[in-house]
Order: sequence, then C-alpha cells, then structure tokens
Amino acid sequence: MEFLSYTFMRRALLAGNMVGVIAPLVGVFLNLRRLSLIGHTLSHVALAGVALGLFLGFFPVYTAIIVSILAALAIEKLRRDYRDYAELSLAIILAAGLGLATILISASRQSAGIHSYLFGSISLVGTRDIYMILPLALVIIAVILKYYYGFFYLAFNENEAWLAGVPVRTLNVVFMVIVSVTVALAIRVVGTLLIASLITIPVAAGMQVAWSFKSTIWLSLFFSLTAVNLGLILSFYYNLAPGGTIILAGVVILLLVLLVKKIWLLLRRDL
Amino acid sequence: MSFLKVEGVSFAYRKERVVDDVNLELKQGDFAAFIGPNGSGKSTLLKLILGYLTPTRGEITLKGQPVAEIMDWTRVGYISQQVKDFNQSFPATVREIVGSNLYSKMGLVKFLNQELEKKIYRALELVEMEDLINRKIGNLSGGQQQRVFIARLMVNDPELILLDEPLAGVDIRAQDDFYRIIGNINQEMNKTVIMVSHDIQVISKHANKIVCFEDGRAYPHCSQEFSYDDYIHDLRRTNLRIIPRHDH
Repeated sequence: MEFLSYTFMRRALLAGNMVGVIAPLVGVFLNLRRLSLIGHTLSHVALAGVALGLFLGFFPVYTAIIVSILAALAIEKLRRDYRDYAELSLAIILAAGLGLATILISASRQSAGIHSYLFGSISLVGTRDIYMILPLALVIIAVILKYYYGFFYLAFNENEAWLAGVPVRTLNVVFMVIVSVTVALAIRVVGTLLIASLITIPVAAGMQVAWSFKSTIWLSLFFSLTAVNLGLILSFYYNLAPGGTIILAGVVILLLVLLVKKIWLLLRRDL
Repeated sequence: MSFLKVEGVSFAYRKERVVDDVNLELKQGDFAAFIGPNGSGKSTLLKLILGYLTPTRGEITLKGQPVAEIMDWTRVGYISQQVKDFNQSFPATVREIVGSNLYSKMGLVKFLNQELEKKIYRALELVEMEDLINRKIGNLSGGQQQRVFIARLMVNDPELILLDEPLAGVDIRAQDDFYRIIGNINQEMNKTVIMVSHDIQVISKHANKIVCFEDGRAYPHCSQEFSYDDYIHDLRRTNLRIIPRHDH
C-alpha cells in the first residue's frame, strides 16, 4: 500500500474512481442505444476544448466541458433531424473537432501540456481537478438515479417511450449533456484518446454475464472500478501511461469474462 | 354517452388523403376489428385515436373528451406494429420491461416501489406470465414476448386498448393464447379493444364489431357483405402480399 502515501496518487485514485463510476453508468445507456460512437466523437471535440483552453490561457477542463456540451447538443439536433444519417453527422463533428484541436494546439505556446490530455496523466491531477470532478460526478449520478426508468425506456425503445409518459426530447438533451460532461471529466484520468474505451469496455463485459438491466449496471461498475484501480496501481509501480494501463486492464477483464462464460456454457451443455 | 366517438375525421399525409371522412362509435366493452388492405387507413386511424396524429378535419372524443386534450397517455394502451423491433439481446427482465411503463406513476425518483411491483405482478398474472417475471426478454418466444407487451400495456389499467396487427409473425398456438387473454381482458374487465388485423376469419369470431377499410374510408357493420374474396381482390388490386390460407 506504498502508493497511498503519495498525495498525487491519492488524488489520482479519487479522480479515477469517480470517473470509473460515471463512465460505465453513462456507458450502459449509451451502448444499449447503439450510440457508442458519440463517446468517441465527443472525446475528440473535448480535445478541441482543451486546446482552446490552453490557447486562451483558461483551465482546459472548463473549456473542454463547455465545448463538448455544445457539440453534444448539436449532435442531438442532427440525430433528430437526419435520422438516417446519424453516423455521418458524428463523423463530420469528430473531424471538425480534431481539425480545430490541431490548429489550436499548433498556434498555442503551451502545447507541451497537450500530451497529458491526450493520454491522461495521474501525476498532474490537481486539487482543482478534484473539486471539478467530485461535484459534477455526484450530479451525474443523481440525474441517472432520478431518471433511471426514463433512460431505460429510451434505451429499450426510443420511439415508443412517449406512450409511457417519458419526456423523450427533454431526457435526450439531459442525457447528451451528462455524456459530454463525463467525457470532459475523464480527460484527466484516461486522456482524450481512451475515454470512449472506458465508456464501452466495462459495459461490454457486464452485458456478457448480466441477467437483468440492473445487474448490467452493477457488473459494469464493478469491472470499470477494477480496471481503473488495477490500472492506476500498475502504472504507479511500473511507470506506465495510466490511461493505457487502465484500458488494457479493462480489455483483459473483458477477455476473462468471455472465457469464463464460454467454459460455463460448455460445462452446462455437458451436464 | 358513447365511449369512443370518431366524427367526420379525415387525415391527409403530403396532400394525399389517408383517412377520409370516417365516422365511428364504440361503446364501453366493445371489441372492434379494423380490417382492410395495407394502406387503407386502419393504422393511421389508430394513431389518430391515440392522439399521436392530429386529424386535418373532424374530431375524436374519448368519454366526451377530445383526445387532443388528453395528457395522460397511459389511459390508452397501444401496441404498435413495431413493438417487436427491439434489440433481442437487450439485457432486461420481464419485470423491468413491464415496470418501465409505470414511468408516469413513479415518484420523484424514477424507481419501482412495492406498490408498483405488485401492479407488475398482477399484470403478468393476467397474461399468465408471472412465473417468467425474472427472465430476460430476449430469451422468450415470440408469443411470450407478445404477452409481456400486453402486460406492459395492462400495468397502467388503460380504458382503451389499441392493437396494431399484434399477431404478425406469431404462430397459431400463440395466437389462440393471445385471443383468449385479450378476450378475458375485454369481457371480464369490460375493456374496450380495437384491433387491426388481416385475418378476418379468425378475428370475426372474437370481435363484436367489424369495421372494414378501403381507400381511407371506413364501413361499419360490414361483416355480412364483406367477404374474404373481396378482401383478396383488394389485396391483389393494391398489389400487396396475400396471406396464404390452407383451408381454401
């Protein structure tokens, strides 16, 4: 438990665990709605937000949150107006975000710091990050708890949710906002390039063995937190990039889950 | 007072009249069948009754109240043609699927409490599915899923039940179960049912009112003069698929 004696490590673990809770929580709904590409798109837009912050001299997480919320609302509008071409609009926004990010990075004098936002950096998680992540993560958890069955219905059948009295439009907007905030907050821990994986991989593992919607959520949380903590501790001892270590830990968990499931199915067939 | 009244209702979609001056009256406890070829306006009229579409002319009232003013949609239960188009690997149990329809009855935090859990159980008893309450929806047969969707609708205790071709792709035995359950709901619970169907032979055994549709017009009380041959003729004329019948 040597790593706990370092302040930066305690901060990293706190931030990592908060992100490790909200990413799969949002991810369950996002993946079941087959919108996982949105996470990927928003992470690239968030990078543009980070670059904007560095360029203008603001705290990059602030600008990342604002820019990704704006992009998320634009995506929701396009998704509604061009139902059949939703992927195309995502590809365009992703490209625009990345293009803007590259220009701003090259124009910025502090571009050296961009590295930590691309791949995540635990040693750079500051008190300011914690004050940002902690309350926003709690708000996201509260919103998901409050509208749990509303988001559930949207995921199961968006077209018919209104029949049960679910305010479809409002909840879609609320959902897009929490997805974009989650993505922006996760930047510090896993980096822009790997956020989408933290949203998808633990959920993919959870869905393999879940017996209900609720259990999908609990299992995804469990796999996500295991990956985050394992990844952070390993990256501390072996001096590895934390984002990559967390994601690889997640992939190993997913493979183990698939293996165990396969063996279980084979055993059951023989009985 | 009539339970459901459709007065001079027309609906045009891109200038084409899909529903043309339809008049219809149902009493509480009626079981009405909407029969007719594809594109004859049956499903559109259901959506108008549901309030999902607004008539270009005329008015629809439920117990004297215009449907446009109804804010509580759960008063009307609806099963669409697309109900089976969900992701079959969706990780949700029967309980969760049925429970989600209680959204408007949940409190500030949208979760199920004990009272709502009881409603779910009772709705599942109604469709004889209470033993499968914890099963994953994707692991059930087509007929069982259909019954779960009836339970999902019944959990809100609706006054009017609208079923849009619920039996497409469901095997004969499951169809019998379906009619038995809907028959119970209709007769014992005195619920008004409207069902769109292609199978005039079977549904005329269960429904007490047959309404035939052709080119957006509705012909009430047509059960005598509307024959299966006319129906087949209609289908051929509109160049649509013909449902094979083995006893013909």
